Amino acid sequence: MFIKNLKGGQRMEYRSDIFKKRYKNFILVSTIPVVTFYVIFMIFPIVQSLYYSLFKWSGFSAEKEYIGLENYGELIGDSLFLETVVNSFQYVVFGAVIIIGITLMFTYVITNYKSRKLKDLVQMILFVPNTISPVALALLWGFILNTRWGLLNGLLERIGLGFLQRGWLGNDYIFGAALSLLVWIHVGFFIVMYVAAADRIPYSLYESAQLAGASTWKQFTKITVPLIKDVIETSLVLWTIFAFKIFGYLYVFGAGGAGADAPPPVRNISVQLFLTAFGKRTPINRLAYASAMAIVLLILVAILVYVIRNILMSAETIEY
Amino acid sequence: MKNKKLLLSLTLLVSIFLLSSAVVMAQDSFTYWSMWEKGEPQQKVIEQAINDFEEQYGVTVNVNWTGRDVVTALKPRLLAGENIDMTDQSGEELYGGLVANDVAGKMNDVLEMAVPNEDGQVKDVLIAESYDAYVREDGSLYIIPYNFITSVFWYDKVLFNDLGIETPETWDEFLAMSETLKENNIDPVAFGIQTDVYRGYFPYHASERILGKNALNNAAGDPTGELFEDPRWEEVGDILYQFSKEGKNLLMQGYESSVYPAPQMDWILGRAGTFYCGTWIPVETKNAAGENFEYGAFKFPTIEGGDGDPTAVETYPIGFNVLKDSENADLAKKFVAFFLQEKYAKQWVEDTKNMTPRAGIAAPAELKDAKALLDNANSTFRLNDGVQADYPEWYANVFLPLASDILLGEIDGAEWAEQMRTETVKFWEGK
Repeated sequence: MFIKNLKGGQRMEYRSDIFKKRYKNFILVSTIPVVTFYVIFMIFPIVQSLYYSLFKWSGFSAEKEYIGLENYGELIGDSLFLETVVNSFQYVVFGAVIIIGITLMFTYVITNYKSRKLKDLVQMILFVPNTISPVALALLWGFILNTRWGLLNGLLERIGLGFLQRGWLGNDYIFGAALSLLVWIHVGFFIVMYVAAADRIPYSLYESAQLAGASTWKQFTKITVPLIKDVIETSLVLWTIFAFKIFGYLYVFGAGGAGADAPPPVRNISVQLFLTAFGKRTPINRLAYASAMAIVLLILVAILVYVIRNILMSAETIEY
Repeated sequence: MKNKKLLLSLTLLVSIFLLSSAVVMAQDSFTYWSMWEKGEPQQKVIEQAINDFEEQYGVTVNVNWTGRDVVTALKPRLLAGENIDMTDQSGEELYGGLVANDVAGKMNDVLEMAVPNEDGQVKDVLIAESYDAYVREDGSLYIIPYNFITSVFWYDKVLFNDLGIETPETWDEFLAMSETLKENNIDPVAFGIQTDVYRGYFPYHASERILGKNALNNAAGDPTGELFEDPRWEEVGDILYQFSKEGKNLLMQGYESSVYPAPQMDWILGRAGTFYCGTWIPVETKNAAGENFEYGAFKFPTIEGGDGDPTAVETYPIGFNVLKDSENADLAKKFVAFFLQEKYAKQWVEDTKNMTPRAGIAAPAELKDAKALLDNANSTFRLNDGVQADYPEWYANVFLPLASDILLGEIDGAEWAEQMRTETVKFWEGK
């Protein structure tokens, strides 16, 4: 069999097989450090958390009392924990819809720029929040949304839309306010992925569409979106994981910088877990109970990612 | 043979030197993890005292300027078996974190220690009200305070004079004061419900006035909820409801979404007439205060028919604890007594604009009224009546959410009292 007689996909597979056979030992040796680190820093802590979750333990000393599954039983009736579970799911669902929607809109706009420099500049501006400390951004967002002297309400007043002013940090709006912060940050992150994916689509496809008289919107919906579907799906998985484990922004947002705990309506499981394990102003200090929360978090994320990958995501490979 | 002897002698000498150095080092140094950060005025005063202590006794103090999360930072270190001799924080955080988990050491013996370079003992120079609320039933004390905080209603004396308002003593007078402020287009009380510490102030102060000290603490720890069946809890609820926008609307507009530092800024800029907060407020607001602004303070008003001590005020000390397993406890405690010398207490007041628990030292001008309230108090009570430290999950799951509901006017006094009972029962059933 000659390699030149094989088609694109088969050829890649054939080369990969040869590579695997020839460098089998090298691959094995190269993998060992990675696997070792993964086991030590990922698998072992998970097993350890599972073990600790079966105890009553503050974490201040080595003394622990075995209580079996009682921590898990308590979680079911813990209204504050259940509120953070609901919040986490709301972040996943509303965040996914809004972030992917806005990211696609920006992708449409950016991919239609003729100038490469302009394309890069807009992406860079949108990406900037990802390079700034989460604490600083959360505080800044809190100041912008402050009811009495925040930028947003001031702006609404100035442009004659005072009737839209709200108490953005009150119970009715604070979840949306926190979500808007996360949207602002993550849109910039996913745009870089989407635009990079769109850039790899051969231009000939667009030329054919243009010759057939397709509008830019039609080209975007019929060519760009289907061909970056794999990246959109990956971003969905990433966002699901982010929404559950994101910490810094939600830990600080709404607390006002006075060392206070983040208000319950904005907390996700990660924030609640930390506050339960280590306390802050409220010295709860239940490390074992927080470990049970961590295990529940792990299971929820695993289930969601499994569902997204196996039910929502398509198995087809994109080829041009 | 000669060489062998020499080698043996040298080895012996080196061993003795190393051993004695280790003993000297172990005896003559201690480790202190501080709640202050490098550069803060409080840190500078303590650092000065540490330098003097090292010089006077020829010892070493290993300091880690950790910051406010010091108790959290201590946890993994202690778990790993590291020796940390001393730390400092507020009474509530020390009791909630270290005492509750049997990590804190008793400090009663420090009260009996002589204050270095002076005549008296620590118990003679410390104001008892600064720590007596923290003495356990068995007499154990786990904090020696060096900073004395209380919470009061703050107001601008110049503004009150201009409007002809007398500071209120009773609840009715407080309502009258609020009316006068409203008539002058000033919201009576600056407030932000999203900040836990603000949200908790009125519920536990009202309970102190109506039911007395420890009533909230006892009821929080009662799994049967029976203590909340006392009809006086409804009276507490009624007072809280009056604060709300559905009641007598005493809190500033937009309080339902106001977050630190907005309330204190609203107050200092004259949009609200009073602000309930700790004695750190003058330091935090001074730069924004107008030229003629004059800090005044009055205590939470007494409530007619209430069983609480009408003179009682909150005590919120910040102080030292030498940990239970400290290897250098004697030296660390010696420093605690050393730091209570008059010269450092004076420097504390002067440089940090805070009050000292040391008797006979005047408070900064801005805190004069607050200090007078403390001096005239017959008794004191802990921040949140101690529930934040003693029952932190109840505080987070029951107390704060219901405080929010009633201060927003979503439930009335009777509903609040009933829900305090039912939610407490539910909370303890889940444990």
